[in-house]
Amino acid sequence: MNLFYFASGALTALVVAALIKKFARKTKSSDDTRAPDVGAVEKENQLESLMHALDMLAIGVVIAELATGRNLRNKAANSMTGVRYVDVLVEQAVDEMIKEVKKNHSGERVLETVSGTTRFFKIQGRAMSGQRAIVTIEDITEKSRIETVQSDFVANLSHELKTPIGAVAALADSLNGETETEVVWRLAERIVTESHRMSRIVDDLLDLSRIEFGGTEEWSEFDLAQVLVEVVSSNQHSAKRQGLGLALTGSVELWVRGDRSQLNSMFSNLVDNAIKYSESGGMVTVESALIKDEIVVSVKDHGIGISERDQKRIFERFYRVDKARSRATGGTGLGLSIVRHIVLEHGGSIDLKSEEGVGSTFRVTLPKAAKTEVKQVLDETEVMA
Amino acid sequence: MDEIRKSFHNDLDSVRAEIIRLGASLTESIPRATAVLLSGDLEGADYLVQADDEFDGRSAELEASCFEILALQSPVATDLRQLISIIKITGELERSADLVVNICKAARRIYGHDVDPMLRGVISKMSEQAQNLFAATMEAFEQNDSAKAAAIDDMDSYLDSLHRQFIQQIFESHSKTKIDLQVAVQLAVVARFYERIGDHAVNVSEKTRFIVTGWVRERGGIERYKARVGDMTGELLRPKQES
Repeated sequence: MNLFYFASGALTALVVAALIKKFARKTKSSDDTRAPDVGAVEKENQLESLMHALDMLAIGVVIAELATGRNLRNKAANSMTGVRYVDVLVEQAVDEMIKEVKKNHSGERVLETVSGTTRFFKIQGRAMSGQRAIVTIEDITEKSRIETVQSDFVANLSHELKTPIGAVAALADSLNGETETEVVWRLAERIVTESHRMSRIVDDLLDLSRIEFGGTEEWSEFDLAQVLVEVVSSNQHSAKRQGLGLALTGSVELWVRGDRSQLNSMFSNLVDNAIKYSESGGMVTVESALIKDEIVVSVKDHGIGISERDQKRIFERFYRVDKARSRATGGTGLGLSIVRHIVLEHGGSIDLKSEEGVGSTFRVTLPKAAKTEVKQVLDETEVMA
Repeated sequence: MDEIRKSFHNDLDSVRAEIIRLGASLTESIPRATAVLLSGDLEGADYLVQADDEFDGRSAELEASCFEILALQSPVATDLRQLISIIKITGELERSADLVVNICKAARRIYGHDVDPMLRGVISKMSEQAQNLFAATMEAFEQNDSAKAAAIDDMDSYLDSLHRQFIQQIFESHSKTKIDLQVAVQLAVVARFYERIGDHAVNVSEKTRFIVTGWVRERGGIERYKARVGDMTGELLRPKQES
């Protein structure tokens, strides 16, 4: 990758030097009408090739003549700047950078645009000989996203582990020398709670890494409809306690190939989340269907919903929409990340549709195994609170 | 003579480019203000409030440029309509930017209060629609597209219906004691800000139609008034007396 960047940097420098010469020649007075010699034609061809090479770069390059304001752009620069919405903002940033270069000989900034999808552009400028400036525009949206995910992961992991460790240390410290039985009992109980929380996080992390490295060996063909019945039955109690209805509808006999316990825990996780984030009196529905060669299972709630901004990051490790609420409900912040990995491991996909105040639907798609056939269209297990 | 016209058209292109940039900056600030409001980001609110000074400065400079062109070049026909419209559009953009600032100030006032998810959902939708309206109206201006400009009014009716839905939702949330009265009032005002931003987008689109075709919304009203009170020469403000 580094080699690629080096090569692309060297190519850019080479092409830019050549283009500056070409640019300089273009800006000469127009009364120079002497016929070009053979060498000049050859150079012109070389420049043509170099211009094509510059057009191949993903980075936008703008060479500006400071005195006249004229500038030359490669294809990427043309596509990133212009008069259409976000392009206008990039264009404006490029102009500002040219002014900055005029003043300080160089400059660098990151432009963030938030309308529609958030995008990041790195804009760098440098003065060149002959009263010229070169400005490069790089779309670093994906790079920034990966950096954010990485740095958030490290920060969140240390926070998630440090919190229970700190709590255990403080509780143990209070326990030391305490003689009143009731207080000792209460403190000890809290130490156990915090230890379990830590243990859950470590277990989840281990699960996640096992799934990530494909360490699951327990693959077989089984009926996913049965798994869904088990998941719904085991969650009926907590749904009832929260005053919610939990229903299962859809096809029976949905044969998949995979790890039964993993898929069971994955759907349990989705149903558990749906229950946690729903308000009393609502309804959680698990729907399954066979669409062409795929099994589609949707877990739908009418809960608080997830904002558009959070939807983009919800499957990241330790990402929490409502930090206080998810910790209070005992979540480790790894649940949906594990869900996503299990689905991917099984060759499927997961998507989310959600609207704040209306509810969320997680839709899991898995490839069917050969045995699948729909014998009965509707099988409903419903317990209303 | 040619050189003078060339310089005039360059100046005209410059003011057009700047108004498009102002429009893009405004469109960009709408989702930012919404994020500030929904996440209680006080730092972000402060940033956007301060950024409005720059917006005001750019608007004033743009207007001054237009006045200078009018004074020095005495444009006629489409060019004249264009310059007059740009001056008016600048005012619409500047006012819309003030409304964005008002959203940020409301975010400060309700800081620390939870907003019902249902209300959050509608706020997000209103913000998105206001942003779409401005993006579309500036695109219509840039492309001199009268048909697209004419569609903005209909697009705005969706924002109006979201506004009504939001007000209804505020009453419901308040009656279920999900939000305080003070927060309810602030949110109702915020909804009005989004709705007004939409109205300003419609005004901008009308100026685009005026540039391209000479169309003015008020024409219908003027015709009705003329039919009611006679011609428009000196009789405009004096309805006919019944004898």
